[in-house]
Amino acid sequence: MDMLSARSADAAASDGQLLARIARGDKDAVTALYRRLERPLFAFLVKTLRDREAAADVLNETMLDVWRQAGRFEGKSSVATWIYSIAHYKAISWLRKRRELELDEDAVAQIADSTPAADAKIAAEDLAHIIARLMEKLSVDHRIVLQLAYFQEFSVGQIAEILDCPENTVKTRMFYARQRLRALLEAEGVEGAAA
Amino acid sequence: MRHEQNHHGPLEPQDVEELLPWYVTGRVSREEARGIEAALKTMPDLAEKLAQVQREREGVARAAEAVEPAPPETLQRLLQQVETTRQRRVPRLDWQGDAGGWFKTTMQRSVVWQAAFAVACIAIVVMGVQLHNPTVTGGLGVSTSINGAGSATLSVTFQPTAPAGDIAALLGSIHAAIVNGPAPDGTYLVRIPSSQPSDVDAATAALESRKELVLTVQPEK
Repeated sequence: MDMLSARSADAAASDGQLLARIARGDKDAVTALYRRLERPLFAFLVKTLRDREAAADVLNETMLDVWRQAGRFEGKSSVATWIYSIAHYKAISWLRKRRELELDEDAVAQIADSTPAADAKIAAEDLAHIIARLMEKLSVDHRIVLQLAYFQEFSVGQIAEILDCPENTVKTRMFYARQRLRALLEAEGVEGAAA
Repeated sequence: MRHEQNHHGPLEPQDVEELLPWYVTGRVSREEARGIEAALKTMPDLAEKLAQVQREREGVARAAEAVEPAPPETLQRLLQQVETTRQRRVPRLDWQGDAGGWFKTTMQRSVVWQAAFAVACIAIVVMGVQLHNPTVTGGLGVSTSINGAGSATLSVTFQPTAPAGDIAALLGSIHAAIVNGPAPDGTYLVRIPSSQPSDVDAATAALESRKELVLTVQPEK
């Protein structure tokens, strides 16, 4: 099989097939799975850690763990859920080491923000940018649940597996994350934020 | 709409609102989607709440999409580490992390596995009673650990593809049983019901002879 055919076979392989090949020591499958997950996983880590360098380190550690532990994957969850749970655990460990978890939401909200307050009537495009900016002011738990639901598009059950918590906790956390986000939007003078 | 978690019974207004973030990404069950769509017809303010959720989602997704890719050296570093990092090769025994958990999962397995385990347990008890020499010295220059009534422990790693049933049968054939593991390096502690050097050697040889199941055997020090 030439390199092009091999790449196209890798692209067609499911996450589970790639992981099974990794478990057998196939290093090309590591590259294929990394390339498949790198963008969304790195974005998740950057948004969680708010530090690109740390996110790259945690991404590296996560994928190295995937290599080490592939033979232990039992298929009880999806491959993506399993890998995100590893990444989440490592990200939280990194934050704990940095003591960032001690920063509560109020403290996070004190972070300097040079962007001027929005007008009362804001185009949808602008609103998306404002929400993107306000996400940075949320606590890590709230950032994580919003990311996993809205960007990674995981279900309640999958997020519960990733965070290792009950499904009701996921829903409650999402409720408070959205409530906090709405409060920040209102503080920016965004009309309709309290819907 | 992908079929996801199930919600039994009609949705309460609070349930509907809680599920909106997953409704916009298509990660609710068909039943839940139908419940939300019915509520949209009867709850006047729900459409605006849904629009709000959609705006939130767009903002979060836009922010994540704007993140530049990881530096290329991240993959290079990973591949270099992969070259020098050993994979954990352990059988899928559903180890629960404690003796009770392991016993529980073991007893939930096949009849053959249960029978083999029972044989091993009985053999340990019987031979433990029969053996009267707790003083053990390592055979052939290798020490063994003493485990109560004259048993010894071996550190064993299994082939990653070894079926649990075959492992159980092998252990049963030498009256041995897993008592702990896997350790971070993938090893299990296997107790054999005799600490006599000749028995330890025989058990080690029996395990080592099954290379399709066993990777390494080391008497526990």
